[in-house]
Amino acid sequence: MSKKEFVSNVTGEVWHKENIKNWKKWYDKVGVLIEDIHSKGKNGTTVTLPKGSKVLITDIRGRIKPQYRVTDASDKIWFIPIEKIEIEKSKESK
Amino acid sequence: MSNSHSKMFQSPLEGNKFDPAPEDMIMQTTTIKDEKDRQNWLKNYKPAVYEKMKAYPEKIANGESIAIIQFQYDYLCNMDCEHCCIDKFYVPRAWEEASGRRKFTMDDVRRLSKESDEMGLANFVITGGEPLLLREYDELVEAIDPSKFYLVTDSNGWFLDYKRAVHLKKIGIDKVQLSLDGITAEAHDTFRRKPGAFDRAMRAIDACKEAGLHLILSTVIWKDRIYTDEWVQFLDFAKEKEVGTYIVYAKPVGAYEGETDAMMTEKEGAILQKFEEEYDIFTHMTPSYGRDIGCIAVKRMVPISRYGDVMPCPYQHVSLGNFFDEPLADIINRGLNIKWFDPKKNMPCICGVDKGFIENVISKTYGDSEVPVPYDKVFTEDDFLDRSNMGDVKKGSGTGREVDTWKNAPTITLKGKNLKDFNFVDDTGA
Repeated sequence: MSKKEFVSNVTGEVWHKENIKNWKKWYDKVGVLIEDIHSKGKNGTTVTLPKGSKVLITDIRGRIKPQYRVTDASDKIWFIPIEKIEIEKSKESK
Repeated sequence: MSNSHSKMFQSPLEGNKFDPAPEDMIMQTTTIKDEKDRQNWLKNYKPAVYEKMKAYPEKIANGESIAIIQFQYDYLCNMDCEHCCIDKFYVPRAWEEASGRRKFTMDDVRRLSKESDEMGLANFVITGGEPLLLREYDELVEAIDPSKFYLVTDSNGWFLDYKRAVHLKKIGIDKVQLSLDGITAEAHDTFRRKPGAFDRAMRAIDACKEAGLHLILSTVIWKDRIYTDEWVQFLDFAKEKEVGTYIVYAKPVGAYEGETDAMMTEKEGAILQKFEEEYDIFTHMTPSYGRDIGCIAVKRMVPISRYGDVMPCPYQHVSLGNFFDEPLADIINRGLNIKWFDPKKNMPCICGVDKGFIENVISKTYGDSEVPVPYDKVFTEDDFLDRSNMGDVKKGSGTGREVDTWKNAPTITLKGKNLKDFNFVDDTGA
């Protein structure tokens, strides 16, 4: 069944609710980015975490725009929208 | 000044177990019209609160905070409002436990109440999330202690029928600040992303009025809305219902992070000012107690997160310190020592209009930042009034940057003011 969509009269953004019931399974699990992620660095620079990068999921925040808190291979912390990460499913995660 | 509270005391007081009003007082409150009567109402109904508020002019003149404690006890919510400014603070229960975050217990709440009372603070707002969703709501109210505070609860109205409204009054809630973001079901439900939200809000308005709870509407305004027929219809509706309306400017934080194009500008602000002449509407910048102190951050409002962080205002996701680590008074006084929150200066809404503040402070709470950002990560030596008391901010951290807004802001002069020109009504609306 398709998710109900809401279109903002303020920003025009299209939004649908994420299903949160499975979130609790992903603590300390590895995820893979499904697209490049850009982050503002110091002095106006942009840092990119490329598609396919593996990250360790360490936390989550947000309910309307949920984001995983992850660390990359160099232990840098990122907050990444949950729809941009594919969880590597292991036996333990079932 | 438009007084949005002229009607809110026009309600019977029976049912409140903390200080049931005498019969003659009940009659009086249905016809309260002037400030003196309102003060008498508070004096009879909540004498401890009255005494604290009586000291407010002196506290303002002395540069002390008279902050409303905006208590974000829990972020649970049944709606997904598109403007939600605290979305990044929400953590699902299972993850909260896994991460070992410390959160408020009822003992902590009692200590917060005690410390707030000792500071002479007189207002608490229970916010969220949706507070009425909480199973322990009654216990929370009791821990805050309604006899010591003018107690307001935010609500979206979903769980607020007449029976609940009567109950809220009985346990000591004084006022409900009800969210209504559109005057049609389509507009409100879309904004709240919750079909049926409008009908529930309408029910809640009538329930609060019938139960004798003070009530104000809270509505979000953005640039385009102010030009619509819907906006005028909204205001007409509030006028007809005889409830004041608190205007919340949409800000580019939280779920609206980076959405600056949709925000109000000075032009729309001027238009809104015109509406104030005809309707009972006000904003966080409307003078409290008849005193224009400008930006209320720290001076008149301190949000406290579920995890103990004390912040300058709901839109500045910066921690001035953590209540679990140090006394509330120390944290608030640290805030007052920062130029942006100088209690002697009448500052504009800095997170709305000051580009320097937005660039140096607010923007550091965007994106990948863990919020709230600790104060020593955004403020430097330049930002402090007394540099011998900067907490974790290091000496030599300044860059010589001037805080022009502070330098140019007029000084607040309240010396010599006393109770006779002290306006309680404004206070209860903030």
